[in-house]
This record gives sequence, C-alpha cells and structure tokens, in this order.
Amino acid sequence: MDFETAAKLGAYFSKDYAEEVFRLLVNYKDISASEVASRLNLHIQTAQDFLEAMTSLGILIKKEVYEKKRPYFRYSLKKKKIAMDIDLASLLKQKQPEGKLSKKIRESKDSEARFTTARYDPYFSSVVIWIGEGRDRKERKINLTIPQGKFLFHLPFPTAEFLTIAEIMQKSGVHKIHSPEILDIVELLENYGVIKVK
Amino acid sequence: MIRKSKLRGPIGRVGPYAVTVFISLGLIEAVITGKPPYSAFAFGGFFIVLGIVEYHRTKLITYLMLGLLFGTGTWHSMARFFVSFLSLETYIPHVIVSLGALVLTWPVFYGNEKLESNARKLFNLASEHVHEASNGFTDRPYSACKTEYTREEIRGFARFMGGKEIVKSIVQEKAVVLAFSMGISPLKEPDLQQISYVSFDNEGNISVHISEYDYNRFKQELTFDQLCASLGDVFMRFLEYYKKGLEGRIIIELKSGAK
Repeated sequence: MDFETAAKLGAYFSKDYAEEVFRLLVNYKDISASEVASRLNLHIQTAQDFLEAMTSLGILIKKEVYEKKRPYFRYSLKKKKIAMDIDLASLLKQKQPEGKLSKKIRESKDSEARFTTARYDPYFSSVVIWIGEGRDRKERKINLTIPQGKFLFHLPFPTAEFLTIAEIMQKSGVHKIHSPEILDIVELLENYGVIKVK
Repeated sequence: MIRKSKLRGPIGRVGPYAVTVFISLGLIEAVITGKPPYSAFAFGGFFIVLGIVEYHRTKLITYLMLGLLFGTGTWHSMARFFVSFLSLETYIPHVIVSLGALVLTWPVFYGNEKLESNARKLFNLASEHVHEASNGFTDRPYSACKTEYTREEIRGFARFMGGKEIVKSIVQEKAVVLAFSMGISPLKEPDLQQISYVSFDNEGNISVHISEYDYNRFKQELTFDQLCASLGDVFMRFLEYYKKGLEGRIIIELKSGAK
C-alpha cells in the first residue's frame, strides 16, 4: 500500500462513526447510504462520502439497484480483513545517492542565511533563512542534525572553489550512511538560494 | 618597504589632530577676545560626541562616561565665567572626579585600545597576501585546517596571547577561542557572532570567524575565503612559534603589521 492510500484510509478510520459503519457492513448483506445514515443518525452526505471512499479504496463493492425506477447504490464488504502494509523505504528520496554526491556546490553570494554554531563545536546547530518579500518576509529556522551541521560547516564560501558533495562530506568527516539527509538539506537550501550549484 | 594598510584608519586617530586644532583655536580666540569660550564649548562638544561614538562602537560604558565627564569639564572651565553658581570651587571637584574616573577605568580603556590596535595588526598581517577583491562575505566560521597540538600547548598559547593583550582568550572545555575585534570590544564578552575569533578545538580543528564590522573596515571587499584562510595561517604560524619557544617572533611579526 502506498503512503497516500494509507493516509486516506487512516483519515476515514479515525472518524468516530467508522467502527459503527463497519459493524453495519459486517452484519448486513448489503446496505445503502440512507440506511446507514438513518441507523447511525448521520447526515446522508457523510454516510455517502464514507461509503464511496471505502469503495474507491477497494474495501467495499457497490451495486446499482432500482426502487420504483429510482436508481441508488447498495454497498457490501469486498473483504473482511484489512491489512495496512506500508514500505517506508519507498519514501527514501535518493535511492541511488552516489550520482547526486558528485554535484558541485558552494554557498551563494549574499544568501542572507544565518548559521548558528553549536557553542564551540565545529558544526552548526541551525540555519535561519528569510522567505517571502516585503511585509510578508519572515524567518524560517531549520534545526540541523549533527551530520548536516558538520557538512554545512565545511561548505565552501561564496568565493571559494566549488566542491562536490562527496568531497565536502569527506572533509567534514560525515559518513556515507548520512548521504540521504545531506542531500535533503542541500536540496532545501538550494531551493532557498543559500546553496549554489555549478 | 612602505606598505599601505588595506584597513580604514581607526576612529580614535582623529583625537590628537582634533586636540591640536581646538587648542590652536582656543589660543587664537584668547589672544583676540581674552577668553576662549567658543573654542572651549566646541572642544567639550567634541569630547561628548567622541564618547558617544566610541560607546556605540565598542559598547563599553567607559568611553561614554569619560566623554561626558571631560566634555562637561571643558564646558565647566568656561561656563564659570558666565553662570553665577559655577566657580573655581565647583570646577576643581569636577576635574578631580574626571581624573579619578580616568584612573579607575584605565585598565579597561587602555586594555581595549591595545586589543584594538593588535586586532588591526592581525588583520593587516592577514590581508598582506590577499590581492583579490571579490567579496563573498558570510557570517559562517571558516574551517581553516586541522593541525596537531596538545591541550597544554594550546592553553599555554592562549594564555600567552591573552597576557600580551593580542587577543582576549576564552578557554572552554572543548575549545580555546582567541577573540579580537575592531568594533565591539572583546572585553564586553559579547556574543561571538559579533566579533572575530580563531577557535582551536580539542581535535585540532581550527576555525576562523571574521565579523561583518571588521570585514567592512577594509577599504576593498577582499575575497573573504582567502582572507579567512590567511588569518588562520597567521595564527597557525604564531602557534608554531610558541611551540618552538620563539614567542619573541610573534611580537616582532605582530609589530610589522602596524601601518
């Protein structure tokens, strides 16, 4: 199951009437939205939305029936067990970071970012950047992990030679295992104009 | 060889010229009118303005206090001829208080002047080999290099540099920070982001930070990473001299930075 589907499922499951709706679905052969609404004292639109969402997620099946030529849907359970299985590794941004580590970068001129050192340790604890224009301009503080702080501490200055991400990681003693989080902060700071890519 | 400093002149440099000008004006006025009230009032105003400007720059209250005492003292010297309740009897205590304040605050006043003068020398030494001017200022510390020294060596070096008032040394558990500034006084113990420093950590990492104020004191926008690297080299060299017992060379080299 992908994360988006799981999130949608979770959102509907968290409704206080969700368990009662499923209880009806388990006990009834099939049921309509108006029957659910009247049985649980819900608005018909609420019941309709819930049943439609469960149908779109493949948990229910709906069948069109006619009552005095007026069509409506009856819903029944497609399966009686729901397993939520999410592979978090699929969220890894850079599945093969080696290629991205050869990107040459340095700090941008006049980036206006403010780096805060972790007391006297040779790494930064946070970076503050300005976002927006004019009166809407506001500060955004990004707290850094220790590998990110060490990496940014060794980022070449705006007039220095560009270095590859791998070279900076080596210089700052950051292990390759931290590549995804380094690439994440580089991408973010690149988007905010703090880091320049050659 | 005469080398020109890449730094703008210190604000305090106007002092001796201003004193000469005001005394000359006072003498001329005294010869013409018998008393020099206008020159004395201008001279007093100069002291007060200088005190405010220096306080604003260094954040040391000493400058403001001395400026106000000497400025109003100079006014007092002439005002006693025009204001009935002011006299020689009120002027003498004013002079005593002013001189007393100068004596009491002398360690701070002189200490800061010496630190500032040495900071200028350090920046002059660092800028000697920087010829490019492409700016690139950032308030991030510059990771200069990694070298070898023992904890005792670096602490001894910090004590030497602090004792000679070349820098204000801050000894921490994890690092030794040598702070210096041409703006906010290191004696004020400000946030390190506001002043320049070179830090030596226990792992042998050396990082250099140059404050925006100090960088702006340069006439040209010198290439920032080169300036930081050069400043790091100066301190590395001084540390090597110290390790070899050649402390005298540090003083001689520092003196060569006076321009």
